[in-house]
Amino acid sequence: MSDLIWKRSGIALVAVLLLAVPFILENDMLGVAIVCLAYAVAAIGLTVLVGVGGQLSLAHGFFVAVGAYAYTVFGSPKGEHLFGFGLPPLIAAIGAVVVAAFAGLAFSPIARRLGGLYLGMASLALVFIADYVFQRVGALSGGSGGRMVPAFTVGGLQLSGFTKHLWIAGVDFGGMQRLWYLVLIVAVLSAVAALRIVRGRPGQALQLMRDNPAAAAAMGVNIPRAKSGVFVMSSAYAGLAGVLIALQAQTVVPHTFSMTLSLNLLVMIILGGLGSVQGAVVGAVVVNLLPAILDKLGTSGALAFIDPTGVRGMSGGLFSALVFGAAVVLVLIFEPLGLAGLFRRAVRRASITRAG
Amino acid sequence: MLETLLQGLSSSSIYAVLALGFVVIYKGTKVVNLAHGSVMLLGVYVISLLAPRLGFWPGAVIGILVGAAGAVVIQFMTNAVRSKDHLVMTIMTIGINVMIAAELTHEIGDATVFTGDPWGNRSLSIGGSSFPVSRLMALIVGSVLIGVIFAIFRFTQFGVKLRASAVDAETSSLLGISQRSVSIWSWVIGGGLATVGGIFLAAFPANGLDSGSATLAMSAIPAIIIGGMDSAGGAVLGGLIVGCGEAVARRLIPELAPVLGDSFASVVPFILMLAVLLVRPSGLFGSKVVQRV
Amino acid sequence: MMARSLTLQDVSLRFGGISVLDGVSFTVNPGSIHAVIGPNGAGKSSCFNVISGLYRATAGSVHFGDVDLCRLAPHQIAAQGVGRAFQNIALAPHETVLDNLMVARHRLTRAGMISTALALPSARREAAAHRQRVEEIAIFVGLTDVLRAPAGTLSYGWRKKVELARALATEPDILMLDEPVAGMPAGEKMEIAALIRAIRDALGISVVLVEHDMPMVMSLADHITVLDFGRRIADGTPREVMADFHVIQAYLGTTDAPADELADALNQEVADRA
Repeated sequence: MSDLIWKRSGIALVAVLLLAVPFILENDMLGVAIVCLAYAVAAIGLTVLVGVGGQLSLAHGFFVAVGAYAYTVFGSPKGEHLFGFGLPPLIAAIGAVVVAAFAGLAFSPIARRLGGLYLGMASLALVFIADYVFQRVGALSGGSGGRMVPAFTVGGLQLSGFTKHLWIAGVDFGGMQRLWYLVLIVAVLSAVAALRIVRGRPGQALQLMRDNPAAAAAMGVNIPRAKSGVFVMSSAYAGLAGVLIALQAQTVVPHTFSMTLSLNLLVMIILGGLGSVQGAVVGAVVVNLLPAILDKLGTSGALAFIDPTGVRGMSGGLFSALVFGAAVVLVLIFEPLGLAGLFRRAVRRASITRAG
Repeated sequence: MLETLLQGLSSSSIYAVLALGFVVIYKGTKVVNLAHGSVMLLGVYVISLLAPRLGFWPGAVIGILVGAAGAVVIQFMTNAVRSKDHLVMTIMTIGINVMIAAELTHEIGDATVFTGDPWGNRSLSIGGSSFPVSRLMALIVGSVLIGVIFAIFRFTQFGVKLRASAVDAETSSLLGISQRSVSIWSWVIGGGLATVGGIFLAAFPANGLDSGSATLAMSAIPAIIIGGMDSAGGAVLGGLIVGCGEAVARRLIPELAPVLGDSFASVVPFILMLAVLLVRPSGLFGSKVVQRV
Repeated sequence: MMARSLTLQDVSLRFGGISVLDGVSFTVNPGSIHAVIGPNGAGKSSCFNVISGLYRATAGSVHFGDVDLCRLAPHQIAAQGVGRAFQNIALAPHETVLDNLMVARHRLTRAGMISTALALPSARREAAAHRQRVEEIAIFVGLTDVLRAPAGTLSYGWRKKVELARALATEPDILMLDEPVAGMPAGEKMEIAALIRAIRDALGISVVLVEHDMPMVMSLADHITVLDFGRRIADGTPREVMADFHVIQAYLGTTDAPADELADALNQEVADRA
């Protein structure tokens, strides 16, 4: 069987599985799966920024928050103590992405002048300042109790939140099930767009800028503008992810988007392989899926050392944190290209053995 | 006025001690230790376990040693990076931080960590305002430590080696300066300083540390950016600016509270940091980073 | 394409207390091969960096035609038609040679993030057209066979050729080559020398090169500028420069080659050219 047939059938298989997910998973795991794909979109944006563009950002979670809150504020009716614009959900979502992109643009003058480490430190400042703003401006964030997220309806069809019952093949096709398809489409389109960007003119310019700024300038790359551009792109992706996260959670609270989220996003792209779009998706799935699976196994008693309540063992989240922290260290020492690098090596070895 | 000044000075000294820890590690290895807060929490946690049985001072000494040892372990891990790229090593400290933080969160859980320091909640009366003894000790110990570190840098062989390596690692190693030993010792000092900073952070008027307190060490980062990441003097000055800035902000808060809220004081250091980064990225005393393109 | 001269006028460059370039002046005539030579540390690469806009001259000016390059950002200088191949090869090892060359088309193409992401027909047409042009340039340089190979798998000599081709692919009016044959065996050096001549003759592009290989420089260059300690100590045709006492002194003072060996080699090259 030729390489192409292997590849095509692999993709077809994955596609069928993905389409069947709402029929396979229960609501709680389905929610986790949606979160995986939503953060995959954010991770894709971050891997292009950090891996391809060479700009270290420790504040990606901030831009995710911008997207989530902008959607909520745009889409909610004006409340007594809360900001709201009452726009239709589709407009609110697009507006949220635009606002996130603008936030990235606003940060870019700093990004332009700094590089590497200093940029990372500057982005830290963003996290702390944002933390403060979200806490302080209750009219924006609804305080620590959070705000309700308007459901996503398009052309009369509701795609998230609580919907009327709709039975398909024995499954109650509610908001979560419908949201899965929305998120799936968005994730796939985002990935395709990002792959095109990375392989095309913008991506090549960014890579050269990362590896050798002098050579990039000699090729005519306007470096400050390229830096701004990639910041805007990654912030837009983060904002889009924020909208999806908000739709899944149905309530947004500030502490979802803390420094931990930014660090987790970094972990996702390091494990997946810096600069690899496919790696970002895999990294996002692994980092978000493992804690949930561990907790499920822990409550059922299959794993003695996992206990979500933290009494008899670690919670799935804490144990996963240990694993991922160690994985990051190992990846950075042994295989800086992460899972994408490992995969590429395995494929090459397989095609060599097949040819020989 | 006096109270604000003293408050500013004492929190400055805590910031300065933490910042100095960052800077020594950076000078020695060009790595920003983003796991500094976890090392701090680790040291303080060990003290909280040992102090009830051994007394505060023995417990503190052991805790500081444990902090230093933990830092050395981190150094070994970062050193395993083949490319020796400092940015990669810095990112690795993020991963290490995640690990240590997870383990400590598991151990500490919801509890609060106390060091059992001898100053308790006593206060002195200075010039009409009451001032916590622990903060005064922070000021004194901090100043002494800063003095000791400066003396080490200027007068000991190690200090000279460290400064030489910070300026030019390649030439230094050609001159026979062991990069290995410079790296290890700078992490030892950094880890020890982190724990000391933690002891004072945990003391009155704070009420101990909890599993989330590791991020408090991050507040020292504005101090090192403002001062310049490779300047020990800058770290101290940065600590002063940040500490006093925060104290002044807190003083003014009651007037501005309706608009700005109580937690604005902790944001001030970061706003100052962004301002400095815009105008003078290498900090007030840092060596200029030549950005050519 | 108007024929333009590159003129340096009294260019000085100081770093702190160190004077790297001191009042350097020379002119590269259009369609000529101009070599900048000198002992190590003479300031040759710094000269290139000033022209490219990577360093800002402390005094003096650089003009390309009547455009003052000192006021422009590096990418704007590139847009003026100043191309450059770097001494340390700056290729992406995992990308194919073709993709590496395509980066050079950056200043000539316009597709941005959005048009690339949406794969708009305009972006695709642009990419196809430029790919074709890049393949033509690759043929000219002799890279046809390795176009689809990852750049990292090539030998040093081939990678240097790709670096040169990439500079050429920016469609420059003047091409700066920073030690194009460093570390190459004699056969490959001759290939590159022939290529440089072809660039001047067939494409009409001016070439400025920094090079240490004296015989090659003598046989290749139309005009030579000699730097030592940041100052220009000689400027003229190869024959004039070789006869210049200062040049010989500068080289004898800093190389181990016995005086007569050096003089013999130079004389041989003069004889070959005559």
